[in-house]
Amino acid sequence: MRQLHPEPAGDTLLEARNLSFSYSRPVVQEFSLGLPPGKVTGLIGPNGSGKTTVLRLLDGILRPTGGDVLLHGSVPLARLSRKEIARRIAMVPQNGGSYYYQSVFEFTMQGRSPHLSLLGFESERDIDIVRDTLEMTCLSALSHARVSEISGGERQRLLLARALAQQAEILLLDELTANLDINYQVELMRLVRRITRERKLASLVVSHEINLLASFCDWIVLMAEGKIFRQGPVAEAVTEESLRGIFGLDFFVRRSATGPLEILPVLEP
Amino acid sequence: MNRLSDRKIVGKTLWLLAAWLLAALVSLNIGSVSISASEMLRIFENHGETQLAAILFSVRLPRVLMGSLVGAALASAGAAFQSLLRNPLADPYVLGVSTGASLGTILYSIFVTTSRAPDSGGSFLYGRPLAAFLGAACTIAAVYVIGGNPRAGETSQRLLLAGIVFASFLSSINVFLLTSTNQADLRGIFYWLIGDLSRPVDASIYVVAVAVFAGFALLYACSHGLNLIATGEEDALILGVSVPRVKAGVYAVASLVTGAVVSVSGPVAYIGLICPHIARMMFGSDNRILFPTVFVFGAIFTLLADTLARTVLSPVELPVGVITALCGAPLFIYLLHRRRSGA
Amino acid sequence: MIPKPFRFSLLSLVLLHSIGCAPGTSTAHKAGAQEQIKAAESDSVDYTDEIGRYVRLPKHPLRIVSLAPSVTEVLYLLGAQDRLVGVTTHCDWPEDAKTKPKIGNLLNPNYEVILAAKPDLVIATTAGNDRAAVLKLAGLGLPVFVTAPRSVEKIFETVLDAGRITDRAREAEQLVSNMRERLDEVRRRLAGLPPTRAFFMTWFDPLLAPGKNTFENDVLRQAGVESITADIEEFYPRYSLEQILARDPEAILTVEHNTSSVADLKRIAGWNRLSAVRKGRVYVLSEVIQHPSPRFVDGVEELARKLHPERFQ
Repeated sequence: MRQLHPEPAGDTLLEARNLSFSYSRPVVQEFSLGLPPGKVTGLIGPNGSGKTTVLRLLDGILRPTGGDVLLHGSVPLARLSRKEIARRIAMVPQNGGSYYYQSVFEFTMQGRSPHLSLLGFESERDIDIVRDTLEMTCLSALSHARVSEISGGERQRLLLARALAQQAEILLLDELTANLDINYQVELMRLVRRITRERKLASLVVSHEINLLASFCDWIVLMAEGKIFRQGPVAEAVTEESLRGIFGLDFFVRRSATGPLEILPVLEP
Repeated sequence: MNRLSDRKIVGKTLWLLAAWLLAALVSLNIGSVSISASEMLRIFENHGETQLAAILFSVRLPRVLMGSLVGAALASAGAAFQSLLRNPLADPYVLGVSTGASLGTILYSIFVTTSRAPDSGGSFLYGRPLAAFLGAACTIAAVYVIGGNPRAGETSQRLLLAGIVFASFLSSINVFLLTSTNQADLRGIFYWLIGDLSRPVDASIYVVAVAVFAGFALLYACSHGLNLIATGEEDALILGVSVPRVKAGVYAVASLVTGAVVSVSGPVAYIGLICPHIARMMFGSDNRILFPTVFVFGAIFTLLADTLARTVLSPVELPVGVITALCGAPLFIYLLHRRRSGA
Repeated sequence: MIPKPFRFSLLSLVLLHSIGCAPGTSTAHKAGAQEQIKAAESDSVDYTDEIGRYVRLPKHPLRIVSLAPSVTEVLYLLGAQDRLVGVTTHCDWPEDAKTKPKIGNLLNPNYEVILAAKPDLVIATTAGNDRAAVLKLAGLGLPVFVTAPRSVEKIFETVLDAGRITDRAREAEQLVSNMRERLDEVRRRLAGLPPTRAFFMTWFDPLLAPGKNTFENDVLRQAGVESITADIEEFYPRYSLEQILARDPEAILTVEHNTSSVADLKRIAGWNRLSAVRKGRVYVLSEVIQHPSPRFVDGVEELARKLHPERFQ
């Protein structure tokens, strides 16, 4: 297991330094990762490798048992209040909550909460932001529909819209594309990459889709058993050897000089 | 677009306040002696010493105000608990507050009658509400210690279970005390246990008023946070709500407010359960409009129930809890039916 | 040694006695037999009790159980206490009553203890006993006499009945005439005065008052008091302060166990507007005035004296 640490670049928006976390047994160990602005980072690993826990640690929902999470390389997350964190970090959780009475518009408006007053009354600017966000995620037509009435795929886009409405500089996405049709998967990843580049966000995408990550990410982290197995630029980190290392399965990795990677599992006839 | 604005909230609340004023005037009018509006005006002008003035100022007016406070408190506490526990069947008593207050009252009554303190002076009137509130407060603390403030992401199941277990445990103690002591001395308890507004109102109304309004202000400050928590506790955390703090705060404030009014009137049934549902049907589930509207609506509901309790079997007075239970149960069944047939 | 001349007469006397022919024995024997037969016929007497039940009671009951304090009081006043083998936990007058064995309380008599006491007479009352419990006792084979002292006249009846069934009829008549004398004396002293309109507070919280057919209102009348709740159909209705204010009685009467409640009426909103409270005409009476036993006369005298002290110099 070789670990590649990124250069402690002065401009990581969010950095995990030697994070560890355990319940009764360790879930995450010696996790170090930097998220620079304008880059999409992918995180992949088998079930139970600790990916969701890492996201929760990065968002401050869980307190690490060891190590730090730092904003802009210097401000520890532990020092900030939840609202301050929410203004800077947006997350789409794996099991996005339950909805009952809201409309799509109202649900997205909830994403503005970190920037609103105590009672959460929105201004014209907030309304404009929500409208733009819904347009970006192709949900404008459904603005007035009840959340309980839209499809599963549309709900995924809605969760992304809510996160985008937060206008945070760091985006953490947990299994964003899990239940989507392939066209929506591609479209959302394209959207994520575009926004990351345009707004200079730091995005971290957790997914099971290795091809998707390979196509859209700038940096990839491979995780197994709570530790980072390999991380680096896609071309370097995604190798047959590293994939075998975390999945225990043989893969066929074909790379072309200009095109994206193709990764296929090798199936015995 | 049906956006919620502060103007909308204020507007609806003002309408309800007008309705409350009307209900209050009706309540002041009706009773064993009817006091018409013109007579009321005359009394206000002259400030006379007539018996009519005595009835109006010393009996009816305090009762109207106390009834309104009790109703407002229970209704808003009920709305808060339903939101906090994400359970439409929750009411202010689900975590054992009223049973604790009952225990305090029963113990106090036993103490007073067995010690037969002669001429104990003014302490008589304050003794029972104080004992009831102490019982409520101890129960709140105990349930919280046992059930714990759940970490974000955990459900409130443990808290609910602790509350239910505690409530039934205390209830059995209450029953034991009631059956093993001299029945005649505890006659008054039975009216209190159903919920009764006929006790003479003393200076404690000021304390209750402060508690109810301050408590409501705190709950209202958490209304947006509760909205987000209703979507999901992890979602609420992600969106910037300090979920453990909001949960602990709402639980404590709603319980204490409930304890404060229950000490005076006893656990009046159904207000905390029914009023939030009705208000939700009329104004929507967003807590930012639900809380203030259910506050006033609870006041109106209780006021009308108490007026009915006073007059339906005149000159005998029924305790208000009888009316709220008799009307509340069928009303609740009707609401459930409407919900099922797809509202 | 018996001398020779007496031996024969002694022997014949013995012989004659043994066959019942001795002079003097036959009539004595016959009289004893007749008495025995009479006794067998009139060992018990049939009564109708005060709720219309047909009961057969022993003529001379020796083991009496009382199911209520008022009954105990009557028995003591009639002098029948030596035959009392069971009283309730509430029976506290006179002091001696507290020493008698306990058989339960007013609403819950203990059947086993009562049966174990082997009473030949059980006296119950409608004023306090649970009807079902009393009928169950009768069903268990015990002779139960139920009294119903619902008014002043009925009390006299109860005292006389109690005397009759406990072999103290003469004492009962004496007691009743004594009671009537004392009540007449009170009436004489209050002659010419208009009745006092008063509110009788049975209980403060909840506010309970006596209604139409209660014993209290009848007793109050004996002391020249007109109760403002005497027109309500219910027995002990829960009254309201509003009503009292509307009727504004001249006086407020209550009994000892409400002492602490009424001590502060001047400070309670609403109560302090009643003219009775303002003029200080709030009277706390001994609880005997509520007792459906001959002791109520003490209460009447106390009440009359407190209301019109000038007439009792």
